[in-house]
Amino acid sequence: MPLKNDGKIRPDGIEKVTGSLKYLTDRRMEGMLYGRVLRSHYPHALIKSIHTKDAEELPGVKAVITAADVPGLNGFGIVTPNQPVFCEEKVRYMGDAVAAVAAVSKEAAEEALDKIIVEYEELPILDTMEKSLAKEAAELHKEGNILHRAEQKRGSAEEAFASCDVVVEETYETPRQMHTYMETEGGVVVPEKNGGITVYMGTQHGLKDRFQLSRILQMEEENIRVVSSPMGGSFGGKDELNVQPYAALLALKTGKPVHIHNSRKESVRAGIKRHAMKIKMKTGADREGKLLAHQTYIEADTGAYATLGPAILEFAVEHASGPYDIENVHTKGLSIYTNNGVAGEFRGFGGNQITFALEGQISRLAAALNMDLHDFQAANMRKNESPGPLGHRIAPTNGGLLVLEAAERIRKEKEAELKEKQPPGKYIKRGIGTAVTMHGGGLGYGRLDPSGGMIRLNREGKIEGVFGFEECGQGIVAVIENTLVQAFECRREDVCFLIGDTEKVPVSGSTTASRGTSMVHHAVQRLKPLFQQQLFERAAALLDKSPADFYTGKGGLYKFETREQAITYRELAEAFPEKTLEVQTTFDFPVTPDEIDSGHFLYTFGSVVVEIEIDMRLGVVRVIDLQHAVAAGPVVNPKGYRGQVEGGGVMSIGYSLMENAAMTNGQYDTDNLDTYMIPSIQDAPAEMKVEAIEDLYENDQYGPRGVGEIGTVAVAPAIAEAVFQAIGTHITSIPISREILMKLGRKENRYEARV
Amino acid sequence: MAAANSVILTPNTIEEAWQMKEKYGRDAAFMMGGTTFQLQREKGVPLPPYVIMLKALDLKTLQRQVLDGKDVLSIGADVPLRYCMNHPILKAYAPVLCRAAGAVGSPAVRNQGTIGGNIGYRKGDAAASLLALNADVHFIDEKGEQVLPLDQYLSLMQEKAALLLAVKIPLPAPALAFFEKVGSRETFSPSILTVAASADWTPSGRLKHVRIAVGGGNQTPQRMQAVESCLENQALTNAAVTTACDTILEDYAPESDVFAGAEYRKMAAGMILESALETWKKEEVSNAPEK
Amino acid sequence: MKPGYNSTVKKDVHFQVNNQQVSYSGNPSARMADVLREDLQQTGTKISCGVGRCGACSILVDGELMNACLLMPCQVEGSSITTIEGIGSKEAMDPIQEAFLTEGGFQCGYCTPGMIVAAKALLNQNSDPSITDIQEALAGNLCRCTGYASIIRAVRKAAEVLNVQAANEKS
Ligand SMILES: Cc1cc2nc3c(=O)[nH]c(=O)nc-3n(C[C@H](O)[C@H](O)[C@H](O)COP(=O)(O)OP(=O)(O)OC[C@H]3O[C@@H](n4cnc5c(N)ncnc54)[C@H](O)[C@@H]3O)c2cc1C
Ligand code: FES
Ligand code: FES
Repeated sequence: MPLKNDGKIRPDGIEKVTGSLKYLTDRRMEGMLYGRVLRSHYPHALIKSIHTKDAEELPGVKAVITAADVPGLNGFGIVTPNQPVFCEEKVRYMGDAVAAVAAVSKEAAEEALDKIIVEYEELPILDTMEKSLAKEAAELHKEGNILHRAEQKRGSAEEAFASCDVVVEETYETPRQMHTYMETEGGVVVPEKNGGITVYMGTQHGLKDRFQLSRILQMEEENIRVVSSPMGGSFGGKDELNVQPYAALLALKTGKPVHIHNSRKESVRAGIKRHAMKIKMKTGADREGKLLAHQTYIEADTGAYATLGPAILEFAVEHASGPYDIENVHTKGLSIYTNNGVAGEFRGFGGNQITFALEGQISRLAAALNMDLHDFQAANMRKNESPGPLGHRIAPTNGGLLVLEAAERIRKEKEAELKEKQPPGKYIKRGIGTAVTMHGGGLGYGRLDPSGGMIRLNREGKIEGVFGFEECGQGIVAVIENTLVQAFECRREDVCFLIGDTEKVPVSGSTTASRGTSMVHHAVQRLKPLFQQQLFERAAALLDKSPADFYTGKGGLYKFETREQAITYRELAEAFPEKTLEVQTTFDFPVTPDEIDSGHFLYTFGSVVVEIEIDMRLGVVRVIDLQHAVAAGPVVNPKGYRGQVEGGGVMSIGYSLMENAAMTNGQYDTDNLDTYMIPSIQDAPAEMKVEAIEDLYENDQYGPRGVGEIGTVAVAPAIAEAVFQAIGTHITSIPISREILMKLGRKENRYEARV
Repeated sequence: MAAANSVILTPNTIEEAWQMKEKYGRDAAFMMGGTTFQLQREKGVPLPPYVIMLKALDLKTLQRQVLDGKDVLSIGADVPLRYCMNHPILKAYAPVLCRAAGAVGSPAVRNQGTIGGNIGYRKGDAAASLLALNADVHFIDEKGEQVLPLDQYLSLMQEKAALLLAVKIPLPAPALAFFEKVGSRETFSPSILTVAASADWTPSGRLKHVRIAVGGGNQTPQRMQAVESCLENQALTNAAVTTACDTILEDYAPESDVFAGAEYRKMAAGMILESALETWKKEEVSNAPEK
Repeated sequence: MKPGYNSTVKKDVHFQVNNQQVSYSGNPSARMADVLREDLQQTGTKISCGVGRCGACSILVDGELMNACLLMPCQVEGSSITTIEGIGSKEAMDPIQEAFLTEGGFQCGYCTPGMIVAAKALLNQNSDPSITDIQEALAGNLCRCTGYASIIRAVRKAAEVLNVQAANEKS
């Protein structure tokens, strides 16, 4: 059943629709200065000298800082901190920071940037992976030009190809996609009396920012407070540090709050992007349509620095065989440094690229075998107890088959609808396409993945869920609220949440990898009995009863005997003003028991059905309809669930049809939203359906899974499949080239028009 | 780059405005709706030292008038694109212009941006349709007040300053008209390619007064005169269509940019022309003119 | 009057923001988006692209939808500006705001003020917009989170509510 509106309102909603919500970039403070960062003039160069004197002497300029002003580690990066806060000797991409200024006005800061003189000696630009891999290439880092290699092997694909009746081989290319959160990076950093700082800047993991900043500033973590929510979108793009270090250093140097808010141009230039990948796949099956062998080679352009490049590559490697049972799989991947923009975390985390390639292979094989795509997919779909894609144990699941069947049902319905529709105009071709995917949640085996949370009865007598998660728009606040309401069977007014402030929240881990919803659920399940027990004991003491006499309900505790309210939450809180009632838990995201690097344990499944029309004159593809089926366990927040999947879907329409942060000579071709196009309201289907498959496989104890990413993963291959269905041609790269489609159309139409 | 604040000049009469321009030359720019100014600024081009704001000049009249014995639609330079998109007179007499105006930017851009600014912008979508409508422009330059065909004005503007006052579209409007814009998404996109065309039927079912204008990318819309003349006085036979489409491939020399290659633009122009001519052919069949 | 260009007396620009008279003496070629956000502290108007390509800064100028990032104070002399703050407040929301709430027409909320302003401009002129009308009217407002479907639902819903209200007022 498609998801419907549950009539509930998000707790942060009223502030958002009235424009009264202060985003962190909206904050203004007394005596605040404006900061700006000077970025490199070249994609690759040696820094010969930096002269800041002229800038310092400008009226209104309060500080100019460079590498010399970094007290601690001059580097950041969630895993490997090899991105300099300020470059000292060498710049490796256009977004590299060289200096920063703080001034009394934006104009003065801007002028100061112009006055900083940096002398460079240009170096050859490694603007393609090919150039970086060449023998004579300069080494961008001391470890060379390969950030990471990943390899996974099961059976022997190389040998198994011999016994395949059909083998298809293809190279796929995917673009560097920009997150394009509508709120660009920024906020304010405030120096505190105790010598510490408060950082009001968005991130997906406040505690991690605190850790990274403490390393840079050489300051105890306790002295750094990070307030990191709400954000105007992130999609993975704000997980890594961006302008926090600059504002922090400037605030400490000037003793004043420093505000930095990237312009879109600066955001494009310095911000991370989705990895552009080149993926070579060779896949074989026997005559009956059983997949026998699958070989993949991935090259990911990771740009100038590490950030999460290795993990993303590993994710892609893990998901190379997707939801299919294939005995012989061999996957290799390289994450390659270049002088291009830094690539890092982005919703889907390598899954989008690899799924585009994999589903492309599946479609090509089905065609080669003359089999129906669905039948071919179904014949090879993983079984409930099949091992995970790395041959490791995972939580048993039938999600793959369920989403596949849903897609097939929807496809058939749509096909019937199409027959009823007016035939399209002469130049228009129609097609319906489907694709499926399987997507791991959590960080994977071998990565510290702690989570946790806290529930307390606060002073106002509200049940407060306290988490280290961040609100980027995805609706974690609604998830917390709904989960608490459900757990305690209370009213919405009885609960509240506290997130996004390192001073006040426990470790929950990052708000990434589709883990938020799932971790809130786990935490509340663990905390519920503890919290209730404490509530009951308090009530028992107050009312001279036994703890076992009570249960939680709307507005307070009730007595089993009479089903009547015994005491309100507020009364319970007020009765013990000194002693807050609080329970806390920590635990790890569930992982596979098998020792296998990066292997996931909990997976979600998604299928996509799209209907497209191609204007063959111009090669323009329009998505007429986009439907999803998602198997991610029970729905905690229907509007959030639907919104994440619909929104993710449209983001991937962009990925498939128009988005490419292309670079030439290490410079972005597009520097703002007038050239980098994301889907407008007319590029998205006006109505979309999202089918949530809530049933979990028997005995599954893991509850709801996150759906932050799954809606983005299988859209591109579904569109590619629809193109194939429409015109019989398999495309190999996205965004889909209009020129290629048009040339196909031109041949046909010219012929038709002339006879 | 951070320029000192610009001086905003607010002339009250056309003469004053022109004098200001003469006085400050390249240091001054006319501003109508001003939509392109912020775009330039954000790209790093500072505002000129003097901005001559034309708001007070009252160039907002849109009317049908008889000028030197000729029936024309006159559109003041300061008429916002949104009015061009929806105005009943234009809808009745120049629907192609309505469509073109509607293809510019977004509703907000069309509320602020004007027809005069669209011509001044030099790459305007509306300007392309005006070329196809055979429009003249009324302007002032060093030689005083003048009226010139739009294409001549556009090339004149490359060298000289001029103050555009109004656009004049001759009536009756052509019987056949066509407009199509290709962007990189369905709406709110810069033009990759804009094709506007118009023509009339001769009594014998041939085309006459054929006008085809092509714009897009960084190029100023231009007439495709070779294509026009190969269609002039032709019936819309398959052969005529083919020749026209082949000619546009030769005649049109687009540039490549981040949005599309030159090759794509060329082929797309051919395909659009083909479909335009086919629509006209269909119209011919459905309301067959007296032969 | 003689040409004022060789004697440009700098004078204040006067306009109204949400029915409040404003007399602005700063740089006449500043961006209105900054004037609203910085000088007048109306941060409901957002800034995202600065070039008119996203609609985050949408405002109404004399009732017409415009982008505050494309306007300068000198252009709004004598005008009446409505920002999201003038459309409704927490205590008294506009039906459009309520519809965005109940239909979930937002996620991160950063595009939302602009979307609502654009929806307001539409519904002021067209009380019963079709889906196509909505897609036309909101064409200049980009949203990266929702995929737009929920925004369309919200505007439809708002139109329904407003029409019911109008009908009730009549009877
Ligand atoms: C987000 C955005 C999207 C856009 N999309 C499109 C689009 O899709 N298609 C399109 O065609 N354009 C587009 N434009 C460009 C522009 O907005 C329009 O062309 C608009 O019509 C310009 O009108 P304006 O009144 O704002 O011009 P202004 O910005 O005021 O002026 C434009 C140019 O004309 C000159 N000028 C203005 N008035 C006169 C005059 N009377 N005499 C002589 N010169 C004059 C100015 O000096 C300036 O060089 C877009 C702009 C933006 C910011
Ligand atoms: S900030 Fe004004 S339109 Fe984007
Ligand atoms: S809700 Fe985030 S951009 Fe629209």
